[in-house]
Amino acid sequence: MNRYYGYLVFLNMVVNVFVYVPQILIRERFDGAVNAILLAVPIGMLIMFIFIKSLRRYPARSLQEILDSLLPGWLSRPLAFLFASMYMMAGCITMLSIGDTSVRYISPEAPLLLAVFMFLIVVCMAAAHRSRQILFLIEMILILDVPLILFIIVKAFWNRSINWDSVAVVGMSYTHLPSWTAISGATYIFSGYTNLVVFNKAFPKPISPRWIWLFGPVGLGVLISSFAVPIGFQGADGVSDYIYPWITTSDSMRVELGFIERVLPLFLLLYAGISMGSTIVHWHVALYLVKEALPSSWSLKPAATWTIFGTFAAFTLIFAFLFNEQNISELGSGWIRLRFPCEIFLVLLVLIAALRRRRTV
Amino acid sequence: MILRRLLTVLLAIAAAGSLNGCGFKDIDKRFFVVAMAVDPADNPDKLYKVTVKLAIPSPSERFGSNDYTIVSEETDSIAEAVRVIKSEVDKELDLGHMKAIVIGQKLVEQGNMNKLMDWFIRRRDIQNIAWIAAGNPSGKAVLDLRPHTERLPSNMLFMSFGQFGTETAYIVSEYLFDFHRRLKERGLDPLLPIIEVRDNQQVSINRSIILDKERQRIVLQALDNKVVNSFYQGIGKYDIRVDLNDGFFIIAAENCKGTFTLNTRNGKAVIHLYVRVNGIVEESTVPLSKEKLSMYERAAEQQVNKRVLSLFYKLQQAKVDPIGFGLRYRARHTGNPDQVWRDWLRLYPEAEFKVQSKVKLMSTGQIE
Amino acid sequence: MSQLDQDTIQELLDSPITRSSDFVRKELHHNGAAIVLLYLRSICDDAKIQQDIVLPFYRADHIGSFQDYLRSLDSQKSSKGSSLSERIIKGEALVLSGDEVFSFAIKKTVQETVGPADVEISVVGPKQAFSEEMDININILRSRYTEPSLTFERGKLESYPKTEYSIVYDRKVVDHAVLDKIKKDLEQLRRKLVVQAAGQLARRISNVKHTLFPTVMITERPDRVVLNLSQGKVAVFVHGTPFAIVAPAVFYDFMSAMDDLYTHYWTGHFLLVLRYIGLFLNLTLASFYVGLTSYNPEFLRVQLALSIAGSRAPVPYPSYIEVVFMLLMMELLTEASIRLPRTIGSTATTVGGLILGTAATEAGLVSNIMIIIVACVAISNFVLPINEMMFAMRVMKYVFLLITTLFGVMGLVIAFIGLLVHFTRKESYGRPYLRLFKENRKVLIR
Repeated sequence: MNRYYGYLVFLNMVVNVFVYVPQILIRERFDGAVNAILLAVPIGMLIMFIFIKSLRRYPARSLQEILDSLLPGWLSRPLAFLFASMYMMAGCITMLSIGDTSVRYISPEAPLLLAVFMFLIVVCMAAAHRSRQILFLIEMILILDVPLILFIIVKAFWNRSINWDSVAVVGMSYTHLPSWTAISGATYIFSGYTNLVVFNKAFPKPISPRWIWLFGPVGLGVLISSFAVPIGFQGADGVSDYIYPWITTSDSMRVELGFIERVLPLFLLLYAGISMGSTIVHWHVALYLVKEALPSSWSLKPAATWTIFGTFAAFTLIFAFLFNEQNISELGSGWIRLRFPCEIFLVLLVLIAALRRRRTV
Repeated sequence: MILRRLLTVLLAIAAAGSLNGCGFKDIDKRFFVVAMAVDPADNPDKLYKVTVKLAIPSPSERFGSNDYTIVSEETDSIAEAVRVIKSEVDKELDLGHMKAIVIGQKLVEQGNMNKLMDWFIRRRDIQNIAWIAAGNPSGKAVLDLRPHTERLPSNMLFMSFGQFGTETAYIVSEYLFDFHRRLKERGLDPLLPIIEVRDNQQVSINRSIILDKERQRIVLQALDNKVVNSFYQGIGKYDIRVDLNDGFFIIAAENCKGTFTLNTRNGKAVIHLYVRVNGIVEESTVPLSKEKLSMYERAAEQQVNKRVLSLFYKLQQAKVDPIGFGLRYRARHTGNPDQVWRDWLRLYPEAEFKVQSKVKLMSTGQIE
Repeated sequence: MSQLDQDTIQELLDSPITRSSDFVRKELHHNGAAIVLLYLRSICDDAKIQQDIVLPFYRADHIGSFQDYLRSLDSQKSSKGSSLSERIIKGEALVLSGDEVFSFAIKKTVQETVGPADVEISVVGPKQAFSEEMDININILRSRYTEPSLTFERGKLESYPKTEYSIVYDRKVVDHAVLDKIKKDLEQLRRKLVVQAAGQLARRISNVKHTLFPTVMITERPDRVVLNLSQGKVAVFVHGTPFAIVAPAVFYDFMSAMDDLYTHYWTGHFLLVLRYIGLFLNLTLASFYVGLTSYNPEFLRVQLALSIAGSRAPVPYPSYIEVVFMLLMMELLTEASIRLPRTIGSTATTVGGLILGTAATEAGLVSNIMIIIVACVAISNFVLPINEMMFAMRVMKYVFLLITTLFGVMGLVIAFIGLLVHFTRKESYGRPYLRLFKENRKVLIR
């Protein structure tokens, strides 16, 4: 089962392109984004390690149970709601982002509301399933999508059009200190482990921390490619002109001898799958956080799931209706900035709970 | 339970479907723009003359035809022009297959390229991998060519630039996104191949324009073009004429790769250019001997050095930098990016070029 | 053998079976002794009765030795518990002698031969299929699966008329949870319905009533059943059908042909990959055509876009009508050639496929490229080895087509993910229907 934990983390890494991580890093490319990337790896790995280690004391428990052992109910339940709303927003932003790009590049005549709605139907259907089934699902999605995405990335690195001098120009800003936003954005890559707050129940044995160091180099590779490839293609100065630098970059590649010549459709369609997978995971986590925080007389009703998803979907659709591209991107950056402290807070809570448990047991 | 769920999904689809219904447009109801040209307007009140080349698919011709129609419009902006053209044709204009953009050379001379390119970059449906070139005498003239060998309108351009048909170092091909990058990147200047119309529905594409960030600065002739290409695309298929005392011979290079390093010593930039050529002798007016191969190589190197040096001093005088020396300087110096850039602007006009070429002859061909 | 009392006799005489014209009641007298012979002529072997019962009766010195002889017979069965009339219906002959009843299974089997497998064809695998006679099927399995742990459990469905079934499993490796669930499902079936085919029973016992994708496998191949038994699965035979139901069955089972195991490693895997490609094409090709020609022609290569546009120029309908029209034609052809006698079937396909296709393009109803796509969709469907999955995917592609027609290429991706969601949620007797690595690939002794 350990490999499913790997999928959870890896899914979060791959989806970064669609949750404004490259945009944030590129915006700050001359102001410490480079250092943010280098710092993000030890920071991300450290908190992941702490979290996994602490969680080993709570095998097959969910966050609510851990919080309840630490805090009184009037405090732990609102906290769970807070975390749930963060997860909800994560899924929501991914949906808005993929919806917006699919409207812009695939079906320009369709309204954003409809595009998002299409995704929501399948996402809600899937996120209501059991955790185990969701793990199987993301495994299938990753296995189908990642080889082709790797192909695109390898193709990008070998492309004649990539200019490493441009990347090096950005690399020369290593003297700048990274900003909070940049670090927060870069550590997003590693935050897939937080999904364990609910998925922990699906793992019969606690996750062994033996192999997690592998995520360090992998995460660094993912960060570097999602940051450097657009810069190499669009230039150190020109890259910030684009709202979706990765999509522009994928359109700048050409497969001369492939079945289709343009990479853009392939890239978007693959990422539609990845984004849906990520949203399914996030909303599943949010759903169960809310359900467990609610009194069981409410949460056991069959309508509860659909009420919760209805709320989630309503939020997303309202955002889709009210916001334009700029707002969505700002919402995404805002969320990323807020995410990091929340994540640290969560890890601290779990750590304290684990320490206390050692004392009592 | 299942039925109810099925019903919900169906209802959702139906609801969504009723919202939709406008994106559906069949392929035969679209006109594909295969190439577009922008020239200065003939009418002095207008800015641009925009020309689109529309492919006409023919049901009867089994293996394709190069039927096309050309529509031109003069306006102050490309977007307006496209709108007006839309009203003049009976089908939806589809820009998704626009693979060649030809800008009249006169417009490149006038400058203001950033403003011109804005529309191309902003439109989501224009391929970033469209080729961009300058047209001589005009973009429209280039579009309105009908070579007999074509099985697809403008296919000749696609084949030449795509380098799957003909492979030659004389053709510099430039993608739209690359052109935009070069317009923005400090230390890497844009270049455009020139497509010249010749008689008999032919073109020649062996010269190119080097621009500063706004307008044409210098036109490179065919020989210089090859050198730039060896640094720019690293395409082989390169030929070097080497003069001997009593005649000359031609080296056909299998590959020819130019690299450079940049040093600053005592406040002066020194740029070392390395050119490595592997090739064989393809034609000779004098008998060649296998023993003297190394001597020929030295002679060829002399030739290459001379040519490369003359080109780069020419570029330096024109204050343009299509190879990216400036970018390399920025990539090696830390500090405030603007300050670094100002330093380079001071350094470049006095930079010194040193060339080291290495020619390796594999054989003298099938005869000695 | 059981004691004869008046009640059982009475029950027999009251039963409607006695009024059937094939019911035989013979009274035989010899040396002062008398026996009564009761059986159904239609399903019992007359000659055998004559040979085994009548002749010995006349040869016997006295009734005692005859009764001893009867007791020694192999075929004598003491199916206690069931009434006399039921025994007669099963094909047993009853001998009433004095106050004792002897019953013998002297059933005449109509079809003893085993036909070749013609639904699930294998190239180098075993050629024979199951028979419609349950006893023969059990015989086949016993001889192929030579393990003492192979267990049969016979039973009768509570259907009307009652159909005999038998559950087969390997006691050593079987998943008992699955076994119990299947038994329960079979017992729960209480319906006034005629069960005559394995598929019918499979549909009745599955707890999801309206499902498109099969969760139990129906196969006619003894080798597949043997393989599945060794994997701990449970097989159910229904009397009168040459198919076995095997459960649990997950998605991968429906994609594997027995030949995958019999050919070389690389060829087997090549065929498997081929099948998945076929599945993908079958599901998405028609949808891609609609999505790419009507929403996003810019994703095609320009040459292809222009040639599709050219070939579509005379077609008056939007692309999805063109596709639905041609697909419908193809479905009609397929259906027609299944139901027709084999000799006419090939004519129908030729006439339909060749002539209709050519004529439709020439008349400008559909484009050339459409014909290629429809042919490809049809052929790729036939690549799937198990019929039920083939039918399910045949239906599924219309769902994809509908969604793509409404939402374009992105809709197709969403539908595809939706299908994955459905598959991963589905379960077959507790096994996840689709996960990357199948459980229990090897024989597992529990």
